[in-house]
Amino acid sequence: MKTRVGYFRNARYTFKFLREISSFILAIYAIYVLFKLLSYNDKSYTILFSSPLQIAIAIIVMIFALIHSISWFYLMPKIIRIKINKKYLDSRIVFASSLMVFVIISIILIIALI
Amino acid sequence: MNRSHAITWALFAATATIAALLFPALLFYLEIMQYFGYDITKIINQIINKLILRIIFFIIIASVIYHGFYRFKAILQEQVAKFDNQIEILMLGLAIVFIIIALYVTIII
Repeated sequence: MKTRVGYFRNARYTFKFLREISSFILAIYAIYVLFKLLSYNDKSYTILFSSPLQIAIAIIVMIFALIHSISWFYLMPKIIRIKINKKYLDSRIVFASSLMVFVIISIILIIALI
Repeated sequence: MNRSHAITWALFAATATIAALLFPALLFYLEIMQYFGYDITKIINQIINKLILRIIFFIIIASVIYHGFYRFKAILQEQVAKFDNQIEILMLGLAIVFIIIALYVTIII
């Protein structure tokens, strides 16, 4: 039988909890955005997208989005191990290159959308 | 690992990568760009008016929803050990419902 996991027993479990809950917060925010878009019109955009509450929500969600991205790129090379010339690639190299790709893609996307 | 678990786990990994790579940029574009002087109505209208952007928007939002509910399912299963199957059905069911809503909001409307 499984036993309950105490997420706040040590730093490793707390980090795991933060990693897991960050993606759920992003999901809740994604649903919130859908409802914002449903009620969006020319008069409501200030309340829906530009009020101080929206700024605070956007900043908090951005922090969780970055926690999710960085923790996923950290975890990915540990799940899928890459072998080159019979040697496993150092997970730190994969992590660093994933982060680099993430930054480049984000910059390209934002420039393309402007 | 049975076949259905393999499929849900593969979906989990794929949606995690999409969410990790693309969601911060989307969030920055949708919510934070306006504080750098960009017109929010122009930003939203650009997404609404182009089908390809709406499809990309749907893929990102659907990925974030599926991934988030999958991970929340894992948290609940670790806390409430007795109801593994019920939690799985509830969480994945909710994810599917919200993905259908996302499809309706982003592409059908």
